[in-house]
Amino acid sequence: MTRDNARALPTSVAHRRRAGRMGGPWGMALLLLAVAFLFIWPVVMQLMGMFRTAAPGTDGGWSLDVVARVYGSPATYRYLWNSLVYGLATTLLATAMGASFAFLAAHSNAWGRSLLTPVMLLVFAAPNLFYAISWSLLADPGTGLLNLAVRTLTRPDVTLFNAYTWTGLIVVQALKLTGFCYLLLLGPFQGMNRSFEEASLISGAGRFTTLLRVTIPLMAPALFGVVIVGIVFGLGTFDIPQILGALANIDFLSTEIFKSISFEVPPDYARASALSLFVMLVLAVLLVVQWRVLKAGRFVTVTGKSNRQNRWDLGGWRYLGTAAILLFTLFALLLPLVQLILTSLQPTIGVYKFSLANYQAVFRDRQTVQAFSTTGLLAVSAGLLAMLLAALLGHVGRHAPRWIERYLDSATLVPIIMPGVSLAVGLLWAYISIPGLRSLYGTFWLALIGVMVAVMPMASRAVRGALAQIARELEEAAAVSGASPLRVLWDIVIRLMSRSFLAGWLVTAIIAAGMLDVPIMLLSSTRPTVSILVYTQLLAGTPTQACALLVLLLVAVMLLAVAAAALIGLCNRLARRQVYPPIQTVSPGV
Amino acid sequence: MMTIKPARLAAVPVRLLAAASLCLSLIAPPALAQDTAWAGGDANAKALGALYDAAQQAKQTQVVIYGGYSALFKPLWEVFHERFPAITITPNPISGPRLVSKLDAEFATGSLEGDVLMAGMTELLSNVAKDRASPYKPPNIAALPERYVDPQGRFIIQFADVFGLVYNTNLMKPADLPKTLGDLADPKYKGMVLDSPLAGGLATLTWIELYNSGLLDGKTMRAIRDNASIVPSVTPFYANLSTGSVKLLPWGSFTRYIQMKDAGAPVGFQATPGLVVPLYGGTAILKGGPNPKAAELFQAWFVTPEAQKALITRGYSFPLLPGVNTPDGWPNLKQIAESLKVIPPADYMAVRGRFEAAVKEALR
Repeated sequence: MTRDNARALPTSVAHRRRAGRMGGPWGMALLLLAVAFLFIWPVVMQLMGMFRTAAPGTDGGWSLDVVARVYGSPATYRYLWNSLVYGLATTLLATAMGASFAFLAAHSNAWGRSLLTPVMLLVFAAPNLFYAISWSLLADPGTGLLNLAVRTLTRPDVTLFNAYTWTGLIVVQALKLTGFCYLLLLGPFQGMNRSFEEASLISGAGRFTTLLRVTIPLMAPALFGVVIVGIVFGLGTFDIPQILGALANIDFLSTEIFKSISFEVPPDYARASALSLFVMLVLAVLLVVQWRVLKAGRFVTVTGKSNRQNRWDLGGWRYLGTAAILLFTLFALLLPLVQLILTSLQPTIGVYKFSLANYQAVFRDRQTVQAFSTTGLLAVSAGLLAMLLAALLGHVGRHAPRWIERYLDSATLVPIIMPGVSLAVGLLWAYISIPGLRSLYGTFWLALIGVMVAVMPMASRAVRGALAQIARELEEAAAVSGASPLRVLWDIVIRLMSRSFLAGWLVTAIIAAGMLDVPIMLLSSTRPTVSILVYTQLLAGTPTQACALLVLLLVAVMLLAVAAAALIGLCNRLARRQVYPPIQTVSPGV
Repeated sequence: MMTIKPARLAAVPVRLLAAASLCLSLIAPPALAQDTAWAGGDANAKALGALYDAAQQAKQTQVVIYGGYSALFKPLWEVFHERFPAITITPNPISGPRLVSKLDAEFATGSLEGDVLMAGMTELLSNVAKDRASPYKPPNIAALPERYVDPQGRFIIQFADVFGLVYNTNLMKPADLPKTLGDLADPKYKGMVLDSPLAGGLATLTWIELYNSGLLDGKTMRAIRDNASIVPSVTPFYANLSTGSVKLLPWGSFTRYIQMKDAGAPVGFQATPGLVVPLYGGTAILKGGPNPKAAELFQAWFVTPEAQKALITRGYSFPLLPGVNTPDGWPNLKQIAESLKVIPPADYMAVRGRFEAAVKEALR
């Protein structure tokens, strides 16, 4: 759009478009193409695999055989039903817990609230596989440590805990997922203006009514983002269903997808893609619901007016809040973490003799130090890149026509529908079929792009929730004052959502640090990540050394979190020194 | 008056030793030639020395090995590095679909990063069939029985594992264990852990051998499947076996058993005739790999007595070089192998195809 045309439009629309317009129509076209290449093409290549008789990138014919084979089998619908129940139940439970704890941390005066963020970080960073193994050791109906403890206190025939049941599966997955939900919801809760709640209270509404009718609705964009990712993640997650579900004789879509691509020779990508299509359908339905329910502008809490962020005095309820924090810390973190640390000190799982031999073996390995530095660099850069790109796309999208906004919104979510191995294979073929990118094969840079694409769904949800809270007028004011679109993005948008941005960066970096499939396909063999070394130890039959590596990885994540906290402190100090004058916020009413 | 500092005084014995070793080195040949038992004799040691020189001249300082076994045998690579300090082995544990896709992609684009493929028979043969192996017969290959060497030199079989009854000794006694395949359908073994025989994993590989030998029919396949907890992969359940939440793996790895037993886990292994199966693994040099000379040195070293002995002590696996004996108490690989009908490598994929048809019919 030319400057003259912009003048011809109503002023607010012109400023709105100008605030997010970067590089004109050609720039927009290039951006849309880049998004298609990065996020859609690898997945399309995999979905096309449904109708091919050979692996992606290899010679083969076309066939509809998979349609009858997968969709004609009653077993498929049993897997789908189990997965839907599992995904919904775990996500709703985890979102409820995550939102409650985010509220306690951001807005309450409950004791122990400062514990919540480090606890949630560790819960989230604990790898799924070892979370599952820890809980199978803790809540085994025969020899589980929790049951042994209960029997010591009561009778020898009492079995209170059983991880190998529907309840066990859902509780364990929900505890793990709560960390993710909390971390993505904390920023929006912290950014929320207390004036709305105070207005509600002054108008005579009780605290509970205010919570239900003001606080939670204001959080709707962020909650929706978390629910979408949670459900889709629940449908595709593998480790906990594998370890606990197998002994409970419960089959899921994810375990069937794993079987299709892990053991068939050649891998049955057609069946895996056909099963993944269900995940895509669920995602599409959730996105449509989100677009219909969440209308732009209704959730703005960050505006150009004053902003109040003082805490709620919970009165007697604070004791309940503190008890919930302590209980969650015990069950979601301490018990599995203690189990993980104990295992890292054992010669093999289940043998209660302790030494530092596993750590000595890990440090003797010449690849260990390099693996930690590669992992750190890859995770931090991929997380940052994903968050910056998500912010750019979110910002451009909300100032663009609706179809572009929806295209960008859904494209960045697409990678989550594919199981890890399939996505990694799709990325590999997508990249090496481009001559320029082919020369990057085996380098850090191609792996960086791949990991960035894989974590983008989480980054885009973190950004979308935060963006919905920022009043467009702030960006338009900057645009009217002559700021370039890039400056509007950097100085207004990213600054105003800095808490959510940093939380999203941390979350995506942690996910990237634990990722196996993309690095193992795209990185050089001489530069393994910690996850590859963990996988090596598991294949070598030394899971206790793998635990030692994971304990060290958790320590590294905590150091990363401390560094992030220091960065936030620095930002705040800079703001106080008026290098960047803090914008006082909030707003009219809802 | 001249004084001698204590530090200098302490250094005297060290200097004397250094002088003595210098004198000895002048009158004796280098260590490589002095002790050649590691290579299986003078000729082999010289041949490997020449391969080492060739790799160094080509400035090849590493061998990248693809495959899950490269992780299992990681402690062996230290032995290789001690023998040939200028070359390191870089394991890449990629396996299954990731390995298939990575090799497909690397060969399609010509940007190969791996030098050697180390895998079980299925992965090895499927890649050899795609013309991805560079033929090479090491100078010391004659020491290995002919049946372990591809006539065209495209791959070599160097090691094996044995799959039998692995059980928790706190929960089961040897007398309680199944004696025949049919016994595995007994309700007292309900809950034993097995991966899907249709899924191409361990159950598939072991059942192929039993089916080919006429020991396993469709009815027994179904009965065993119905009595087991079918899991995506057996590997994570060795931990459950150790803790006692699983009491029996009907086809558990001897390698894993030895690792766990050495670490103090309450596990037992029984090689019951008619149930126990050996599975073999080997290596192939990948065509067009970046370090072909170093890969040839590795292929030659892996069939030396040094490497084959290290397979036992550091890899907990069965060597195939005659004269390298496994410890007392290990199952007799030769007897187990002879109790089953041999599948020649050239026929393996065809036998597998027949088995897959039979098992799909039986478990439908």
